[in-house]
Amino acid sequence: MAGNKKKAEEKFKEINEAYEVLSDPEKRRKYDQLGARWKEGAGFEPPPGWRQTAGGPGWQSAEFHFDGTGFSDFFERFFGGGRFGGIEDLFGGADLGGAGRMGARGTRARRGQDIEGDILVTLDEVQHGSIREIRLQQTDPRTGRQETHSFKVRIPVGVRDGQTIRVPGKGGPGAGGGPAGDLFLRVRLAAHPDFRVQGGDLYHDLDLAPWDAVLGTTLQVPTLSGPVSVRIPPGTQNGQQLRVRGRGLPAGGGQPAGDLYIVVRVQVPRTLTDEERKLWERLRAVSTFDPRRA
Amino acid sequence: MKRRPDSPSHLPVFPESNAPDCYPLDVLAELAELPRRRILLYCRHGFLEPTGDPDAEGWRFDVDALRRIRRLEHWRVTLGLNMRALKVFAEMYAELERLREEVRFLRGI
Repeated sequence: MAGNKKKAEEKFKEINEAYEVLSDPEKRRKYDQLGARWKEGAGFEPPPGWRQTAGGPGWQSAEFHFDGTGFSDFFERFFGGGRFGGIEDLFGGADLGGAGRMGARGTRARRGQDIEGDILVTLDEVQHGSIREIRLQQTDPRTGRQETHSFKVRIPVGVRDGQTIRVPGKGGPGAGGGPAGDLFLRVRLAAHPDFRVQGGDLYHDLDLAPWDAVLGTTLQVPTLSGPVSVRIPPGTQNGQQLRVRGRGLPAGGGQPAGDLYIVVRVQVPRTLTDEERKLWERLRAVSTFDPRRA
Repeated sequence: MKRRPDSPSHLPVFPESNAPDCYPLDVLAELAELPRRRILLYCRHGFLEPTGDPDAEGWRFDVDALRRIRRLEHWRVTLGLNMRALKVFAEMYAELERLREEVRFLRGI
């Protein structure tokens, strides 16, 4: 139907835009600043000195910048007892007590800060796995010099939304000869035009004509590994779910893959030709079906 | 032609294998720089859960447990929070993460 086709085109346009944004670090930054208006270009200019107002000098020194995760550094967080302690710096380094707290700065080896960030992963990457290049740009607070570290992150087959990937030693630098902190990347699954994800299972909405729901038919439905033929049994109800076993997301560690659920959406024609109207009227006259008595 | 040492093919890959990292209690304690009893205390207070059945497979934890412990210890040490305050902090942080997700959803990513 024309209305549905237009809706689907718009949906694909949105998804394509998301992938366009993801593939280009500059576009990604703009998108995170401007949202859906990112293409308009005119960026928001923060007032001078906003960093000091927002977080104090302690935050300014802890400058990290990521490329390749799919998100801008806006959502990245810093934890751990590194030299740029953030909150500690804001409190002027006051000793707040607790085991493991340093008495005096720089007198003992100290592990660097951990960095937490999110990494956007497509369903195709969940299906096949991938290796992504991440670039971490870091500003040395003492010299003001920028350093870029590149490394690769393995996206394992069957990775799940919310799963954490640890990259040892890629957090903040240690102090007094201590080791660097770790980078923790939390997997976020990107939206897909055809599927919704629930655990390891995929859900696909399938629009169906009323006569196909009543009489049954065989249709091609998309899966992550290509279309498959699915038999729609006679008498299929609106909202009914048909399971295609093993066509969901793969699972790591030799576990069975999830399932694909086809959710039937029976669509009723909005306009009728004269002939169609006559046939429907004839059906109404002869049918014994009464949904209020069934 | 000599390849640059930081060219993509020479970059290190993390993690090294496809299998998800899983740490026995001793290894987790070492990575978190904490005594084992503090980790078990976090488990008892519901901050962490071992993967699988500890009785059958021993105490094993995933990467997310390490991330949580490091975060909890950061709050405990730098802010001097006790267990009850940590619980409130952790709940508020979880809510913040849910809201971040919602923002992303509303922005269409």
